[in-house]
Amino acid sequence: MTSIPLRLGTLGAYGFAVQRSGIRWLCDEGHDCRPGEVIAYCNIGLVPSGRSIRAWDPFVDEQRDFQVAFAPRIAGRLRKAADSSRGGFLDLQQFYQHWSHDYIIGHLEAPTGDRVADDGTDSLRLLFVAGRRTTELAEVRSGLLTGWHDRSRAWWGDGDDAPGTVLSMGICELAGVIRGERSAFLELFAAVPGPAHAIYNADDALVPCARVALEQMHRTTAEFDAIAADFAKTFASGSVIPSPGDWMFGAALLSALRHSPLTATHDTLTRTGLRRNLPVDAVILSLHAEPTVVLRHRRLGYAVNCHGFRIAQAGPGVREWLHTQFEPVSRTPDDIRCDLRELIDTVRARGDMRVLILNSMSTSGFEDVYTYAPFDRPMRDTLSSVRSKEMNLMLHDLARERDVSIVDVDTIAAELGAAAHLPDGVHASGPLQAEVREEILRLLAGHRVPGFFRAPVR
Amino acid sequence: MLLTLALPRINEHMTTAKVTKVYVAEGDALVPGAKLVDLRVDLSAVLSHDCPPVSYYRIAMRDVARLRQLAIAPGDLLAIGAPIALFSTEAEEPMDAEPARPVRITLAGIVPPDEWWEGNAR
Repeated sequence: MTSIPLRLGTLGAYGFAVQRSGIRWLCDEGHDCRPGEVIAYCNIGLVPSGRSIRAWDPFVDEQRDFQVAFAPRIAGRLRKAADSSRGGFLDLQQFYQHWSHDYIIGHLEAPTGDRVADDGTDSLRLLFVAGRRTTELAEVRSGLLTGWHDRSRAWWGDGDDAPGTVLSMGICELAGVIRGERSAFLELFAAVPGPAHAIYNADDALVPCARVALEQMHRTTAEFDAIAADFAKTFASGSVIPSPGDWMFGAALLSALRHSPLTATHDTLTRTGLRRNLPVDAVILSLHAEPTVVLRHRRLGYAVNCHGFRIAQAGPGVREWLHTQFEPVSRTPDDIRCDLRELIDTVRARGDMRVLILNSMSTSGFEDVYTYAPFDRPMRDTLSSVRSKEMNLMLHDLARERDVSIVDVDTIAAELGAAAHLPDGVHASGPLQAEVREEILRLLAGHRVPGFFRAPVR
Repeated sequence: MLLTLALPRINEHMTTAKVTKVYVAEGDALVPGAKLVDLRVDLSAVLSHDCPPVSYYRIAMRDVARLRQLAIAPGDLLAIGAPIALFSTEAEEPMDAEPARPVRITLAGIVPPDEWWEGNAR
């Protein structure tokens, strides 16, 4: 047996020093680690070193929820360094220690001859995670990538190549697929060779249907300012005094309207330094984010799409504001197809971007439709299964005309068994999420999105 | 011949269903395909999470029968097995006989209404 030191290794960026918290362990002393298993993490921060004039602030929206997780490259039994974790605030905040490349967080007892260098310089892979808080009030330092984030992301910190970037813009059916069951992208990144970069756009306040995403791309600063000014003027002007919950929902909605996930660029930090302005290489959309009705602002004309249950939970102020300031606009599958087509053309006019769209689950274990007479026309407005099938057909046509990859959730759910894997009729089981994740990764690999496919060995 | 209709177990986790619409009245002569009732099934009580597992269903006739008794109204919360209606195959059939069997129905998931917009949110 050999004792392999788990050394932090090089991490730095020109003009900045890296600082960190103490190490927070995700497993016990003596744990048998698998290669690539995330076993610990710490918070990190970049501090200007004074060696250069700073032209930009990396991670400007993510500085408080910026972490790096550690994954040993080889298997072995873990022995933690006694001074790795310091407890209390020293493990929560990133300002208490400098990142020292030769610091050893622990050792692995591994069979002699395993491939990492005995001095441990290459023993740890780094998985970076960063969250943009919906509000700075949402400070939750309880774990890895915890908190209320309107955008979260992760990337492997190895290699010199620019990572491929995949953006997820769906609803609850994509949360478990992309963020995973441990909510820090761990299952996704365990399955990709890297360097890869994944972004999860939250749907808490604003659900990213094609119409909303398109307007976010086109919205100017002046237009957003007009929306914000109108919000300030009208939100509390009705007969209902908004509750704290109303205000929080309204502010989160306003914040979401300000961002455009599809045009944003992103900074990453890796062992070789900082990289900025990474574009999105592939986007994952979902038909489940496309509602039959969006709300259109009566005066300013912008669209919002919110989960009904969020509106119901937010409070009476939000409901009154939406009722008085917005009008419902129905959308047929053809309307949605036009929105998706326009969105795809717009993103591709800015650069090459692969588009994946999850189709709709149209099967269930209970239906026994014997005649369509009890269901009003158009049947898609009444029968969920017919609507799903019409939407899937629409997506099929769109895929052919705009080179879109369909993530065939409908077939995956049917093969696994919708009754067993959608036990509440709405939300997917772990195995179903894993199958959908695998299908997405297969499609990304087929498109050769960097980091998401394994290059053939020469 | 008397035929019964009780709330079926649509989902293994459900305990109740709320009546959202009733399409029929006592005395109606019904044919296969006639709409009977729409239901809202909310599993929040047993599977509580932020995004509530709420589904909507429609029950429709697959038999020819006359509706003799209707035991529900919009807004009622029904337990599984709760009586919904009693039918007879003959218009003037006495109601004191034992029901012969459950009425044959079609059950299908329907597109949810925008509850909060219509003012019916929880």
